[in-house]
Amino acid sequence: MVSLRRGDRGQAHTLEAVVAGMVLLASIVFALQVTAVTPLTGSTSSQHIENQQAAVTDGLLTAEAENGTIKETLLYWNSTRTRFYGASSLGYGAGPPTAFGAQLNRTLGDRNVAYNVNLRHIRPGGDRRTIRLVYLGEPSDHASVATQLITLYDDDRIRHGDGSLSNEELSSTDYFARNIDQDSRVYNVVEVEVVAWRM
Amino acid sequence: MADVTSLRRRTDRQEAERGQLFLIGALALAVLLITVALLLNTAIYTENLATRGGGTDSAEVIGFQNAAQAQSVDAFEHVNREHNASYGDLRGNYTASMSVWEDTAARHRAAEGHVGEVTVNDTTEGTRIVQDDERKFTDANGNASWELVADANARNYTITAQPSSLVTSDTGNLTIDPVFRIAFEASNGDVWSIYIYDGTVGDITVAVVEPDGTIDSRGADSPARLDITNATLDGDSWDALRFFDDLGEGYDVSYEYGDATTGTYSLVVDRNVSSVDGTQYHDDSSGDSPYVTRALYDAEIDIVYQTQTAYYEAKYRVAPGEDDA
Repeated sequence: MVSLRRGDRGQAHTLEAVVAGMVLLASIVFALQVTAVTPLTGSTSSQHIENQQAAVTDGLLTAEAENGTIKETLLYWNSTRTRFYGASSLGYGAGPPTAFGAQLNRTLGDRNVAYNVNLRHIRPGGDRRTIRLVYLGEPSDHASVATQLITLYDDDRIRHGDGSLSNEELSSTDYFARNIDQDSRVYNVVEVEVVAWRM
Repeated sequence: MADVTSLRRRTDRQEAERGQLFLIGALALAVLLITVALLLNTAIYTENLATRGGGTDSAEVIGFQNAAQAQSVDAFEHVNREHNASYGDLRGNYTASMSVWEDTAARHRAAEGHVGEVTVNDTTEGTRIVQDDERKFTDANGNASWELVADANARNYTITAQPSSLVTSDTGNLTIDPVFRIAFEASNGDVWSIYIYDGTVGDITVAVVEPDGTIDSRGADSPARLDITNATLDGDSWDALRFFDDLGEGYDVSYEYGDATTGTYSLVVDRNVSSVDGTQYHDDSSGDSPYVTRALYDAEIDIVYQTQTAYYEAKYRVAPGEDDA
């Protein structure tokens, strides 16, 4: 009678131990799976990096707009071939050969951050067109964007290939943007958009 | 026999209880591990929330405001140079320029779902007094000591002085010798004077004398470029020229011994061209100096920017070259 009860108890103990072990194992596996990998987790696509890229690009655009180098680059236009000097019809493959381009290369290109520069302008009919200044490829999913508004005037003069001022004014040049209002001095307002992403 | 039996039964019961304790222990450990995982997740999520941005589109707001301000100053200076046939022309062209810019810039921003507006609220009529021929600082009739304008505010007051006929003097004798002097007389009678003469320091010496008699002098290259409202001499900042705060609103500007120096100057005052004494100045169209033209003294613009999370409104006063208060 005693040995029969001990046999029952033995299997019950084993069962309880096995169940206890399974419960423990299941909880460990669950706890490990549930630990969050968030956008802030360190990796090349972390949110911190994206925020910092956006801030750097924003600062670069503001500083260069103050210095006047962005406008200088916009006016570096070859009116006979209706494209920027030294660019293909798709735009430059790296920073343009102006002070703004050198700054882009130094700030973004040297740090393994690829960038596209798009120029948006308004047509007299009212719609918005885009032309590429710099094209390095399709941006990744974690790209950041910064924009800056630059005003162009009728009496701004475009530049020669060596960077010097020419005598041709915007109002009489074949430019990528049209004169938005013949009566006023404002030629057009161009929005410079820089899309940056980690290579 | 009874003891033996009960002893065995007690052992069995203890063993049975110990088995269930095993299970309870495992359950407790499992709950502990899951709680630890929960705490870790809470910490990660809190850090995530804490590092999120401010939530407002402040970068776009500031960008639009900066662009609007830069454009307003640019357009203002251009309008004053090119379209000063009449005050109506000045105002109309300025408003039109700002309006075209606003339309275009707002269209760009509308693609992001933001609304930007720039309106010109108010403009002040003024006069630009210019001498752009190299000549003595006398008025149109040749008077050496004369009053340029009474009870006005000036901005963008620049002077370039050549040393060809400067009087030799020193800081002690400025009031005695016939030294060229620009006098700013405030409404309460205090006078600030700027003397330009041939002194001991540099090619040209410029001295600022305050109403209480304190003299601050500095040497300058020839020709001396003096930007009074910007407080610079030859491009270097000079604190002695920052007296416009003390001068207050509305002061008289006059020259004394204007024949003691030659050069050019220009300033913009906030008096209508008809209230500036016409006999001292040539007509704009005659081509002689000094002459007066219509100009806008200042303009006030309203900048409004609206996004899904922010509404921003600011007033900005355009007065290029005015002394920084």
